[in-house]
Amino acid sequence: MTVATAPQGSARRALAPGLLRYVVVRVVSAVCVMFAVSIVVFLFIHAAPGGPEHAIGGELATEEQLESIRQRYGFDRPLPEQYLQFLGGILHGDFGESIIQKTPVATLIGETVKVTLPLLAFTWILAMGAGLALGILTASRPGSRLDRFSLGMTTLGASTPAFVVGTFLAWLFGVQLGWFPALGAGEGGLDTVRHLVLPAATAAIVLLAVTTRITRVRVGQILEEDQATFARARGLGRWWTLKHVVLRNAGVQLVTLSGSVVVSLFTGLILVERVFNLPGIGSLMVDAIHDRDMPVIQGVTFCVALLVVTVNLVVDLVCMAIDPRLRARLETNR
Amino acid sequence: MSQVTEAVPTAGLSTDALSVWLRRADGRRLIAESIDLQVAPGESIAIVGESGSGKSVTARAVLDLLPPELVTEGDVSVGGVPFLRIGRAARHRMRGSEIAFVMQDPFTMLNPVMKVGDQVTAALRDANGRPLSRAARRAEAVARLREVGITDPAVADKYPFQLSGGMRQRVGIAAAIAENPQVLVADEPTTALDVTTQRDVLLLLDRLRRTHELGLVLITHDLRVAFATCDRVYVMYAGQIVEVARSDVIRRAPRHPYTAALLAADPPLDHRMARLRTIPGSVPAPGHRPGGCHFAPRCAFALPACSAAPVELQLTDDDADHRVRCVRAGEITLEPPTAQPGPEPAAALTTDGQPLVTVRDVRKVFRDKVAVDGVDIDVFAGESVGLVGESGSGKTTLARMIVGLTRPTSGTVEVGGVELTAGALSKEQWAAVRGTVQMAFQDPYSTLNPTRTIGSTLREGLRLAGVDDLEERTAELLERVGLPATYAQRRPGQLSGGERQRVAIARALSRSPRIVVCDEVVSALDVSVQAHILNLLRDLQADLGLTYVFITHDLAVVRQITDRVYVLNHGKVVESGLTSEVLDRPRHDYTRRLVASVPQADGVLGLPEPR
Repeated sequence: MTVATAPQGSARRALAPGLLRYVVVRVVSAVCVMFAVSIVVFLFIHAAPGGPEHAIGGELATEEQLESIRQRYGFDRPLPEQYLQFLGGILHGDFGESIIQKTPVATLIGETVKVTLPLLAFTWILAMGAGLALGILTASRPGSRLDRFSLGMTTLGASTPAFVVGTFLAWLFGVQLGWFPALGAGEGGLDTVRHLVLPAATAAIVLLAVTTRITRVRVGQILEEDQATFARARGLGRWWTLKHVVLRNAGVQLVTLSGSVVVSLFTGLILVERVFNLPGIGSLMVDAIHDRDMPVIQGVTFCVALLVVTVNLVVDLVCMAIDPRLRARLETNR
Repeated sequence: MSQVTEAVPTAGLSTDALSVWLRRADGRRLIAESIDLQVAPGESIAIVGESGSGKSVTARAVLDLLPPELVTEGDVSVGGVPFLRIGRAARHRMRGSEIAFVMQDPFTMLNPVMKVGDQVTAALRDANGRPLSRAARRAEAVARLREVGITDPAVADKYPFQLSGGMRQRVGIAAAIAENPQVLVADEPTTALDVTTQRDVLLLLDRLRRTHELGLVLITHDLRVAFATCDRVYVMYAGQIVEVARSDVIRRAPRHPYTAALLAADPPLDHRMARLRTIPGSVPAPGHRPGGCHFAPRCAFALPACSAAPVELQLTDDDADHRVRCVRAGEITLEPPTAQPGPEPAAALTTDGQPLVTVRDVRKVFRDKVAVDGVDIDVFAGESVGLVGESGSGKTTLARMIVGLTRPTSGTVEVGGVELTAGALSKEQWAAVRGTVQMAFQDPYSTLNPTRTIGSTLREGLRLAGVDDLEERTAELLERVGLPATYAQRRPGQLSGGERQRVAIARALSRSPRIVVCDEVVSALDVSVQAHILNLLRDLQADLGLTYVFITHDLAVVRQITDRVYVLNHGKVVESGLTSEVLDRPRHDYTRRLVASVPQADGVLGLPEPR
């Protein structure tokens, strides 16, 4: 057949002008947000009661001590100048030095991230994977025993505080059954994974209600749509329908959901890290707030904000990539 | 054609006592009763019925595509295979390859985020049963699309939302018949389409039936479509087949009173009826169907004997293929729907004096799309003016501008002496406009607030019109639109589609307007209900001296209800004049095409060759 050699849609290769503009605008606005965050984070220390020198030196610092702090941190120079220095530091990955531990903040964050990032990833995979699986299963059997059971259990999980779930899991699987270690972060590799099972499960259970429900509702909608019936009427298999009809059509909602799961995980992880005594970024933050360790607070806040902004950016771009209708709207809405 | 109905055909489709039940907590209800269908390869049959007749449920039951709460009984044979008795997996394999299904709405049937070509070829496998390679898939897609009349190979790489409704329906058909099935069941495939597109899709189905030796089952509410496309027609009413015969036989000599009433209620295109024939009452819901003949309570010929015992489909004496479910079929004589031309509007009607509505050089632009492009319209007191056009012609936008719901980009609209386009109107001016012109909308289901009673909806309008005795006037309004006064206590959810449309008209009348703008008020209704509403609108016009601006895509409706007509295409008026003149002697090409596209039994598609 000669028509088979017709050129494949060449428009796909070149980025359409509307899409290109969208990507540029989105990236630029993300960078702008991060600049704004850097200003706010910078001003943290100046908003402290008694000024920045008291924040660092404490309430009992003498006038000489305060003077030396001022000189050392450059608080005597004009604000814009201080900000530029702060910004220059951030751009080089330098957040200053912890007042308590006397180590660079970047080093502290680097160490804790090694604990938190695997935990975050693990929890995310559990919450999304189990949520998707349960959501799809229950959506294809609405009103079944499984459907009602999953609704009950996920609601129970979501309404129980994380420290209760965590303590219970640690007691059952860590102490009574001894399947997984209940405390600590492990020695790396497989040991880390074993150590992360219980904390990740704890954080995931809390989120499971949300991920299951949203998946359940959206997938249920799609399965009731004509396109799902039409796929069935053509003899297309379950897997084909799942892959091409359900997942593709739910793609935008699921990607958005997984992004908000990452963001909401951060607050949840602080509790979980405490319960399982993990030296993660949440613990670092809690300690720093307790000790009024301003550079650490600033560093952690900035990094978390960076993650949130990046996740949102990625979510928006991925949605654009998977839904042709969103892309088409960009080309007509001039 | 074989006269032996007992022999199980080995090819094509047949059903034997196929029933569908609705399972509920309080027992089960019969939706479709013991349906027997026969379709030979290359033959086309139509299942015709109004909403509630069970025709769509029957279509889905044939393919075993019903939702879990609906259960079937009886047998379906597809190419000699007992379709409902074989295993689930085997049945699923037959879908698409032996029996295929096309749905009503081309906008929801296709996967919106998958390329058209991939959807068409999704079910195709190579000789070894493996999915096709990318190149082979595209070649197949282009070939299959060409088969349904899409010659542009670039369409294969497009997404459904980039195509028009007609194109999407073609893609749907291509996807459905990709595996060369023997039987195609099409559930209202052209109902969502414009009349010119409808014609093309019907012609396509007719061609595929012949080239692919397809047995075609066409589900439709439109008798004209059925007659124009199909060899034989099954008429369904309240879950039963009430009459079966060749299309031309049913059209000329129906034997069941329901069929005859349905034919009579269908407004003709070529003349104005003095009064449209209607059927009293409404289709009974499943669970409330009367014993004996289901149609008896609404039938003019009913005798006590009709309701005594269930009535069977029986052969008629005049034609061995003609079966009818009526005990009196042999004794009654049904009048054929003869021409009874009503008064065509006089030429010099009322188009002199001061017009009530003056639209001059009006334009409306939405972003980059011109919806209305320089239109002039006059509406004089007491006349009924039609705005006719297909979707996207700008007719609804124009209507909304006349009512003041949409502001024109440029041009002037004057209603009852108030210039709507002259800057900001005062509250009093708006009140004057609203008191002059009111609108009734298309969808009877979304047009009323579901949480308010009918009475409270109507009283709101009356209050704005400054009426004192609200209760009395509400009752009067309801009576005027043919509803009992007790309906004031009901909520929209308790009403049928036709009743809701009556309430919507009553609401428009509550402010005692001089003009009522009717936007497709009958297009969502069944034929018999449509006839009721059209008669009502005519009565109201005669009694209250109303002026109508009637927006519709249906030329037969325009014929019945309007004196003058404006034909719109792409936002421009392409032709205007007296309705009878425009429809009988269209001058513009577009109007000609529009008129020619209306399915007529001996017109557009021609009656298929009797074999």
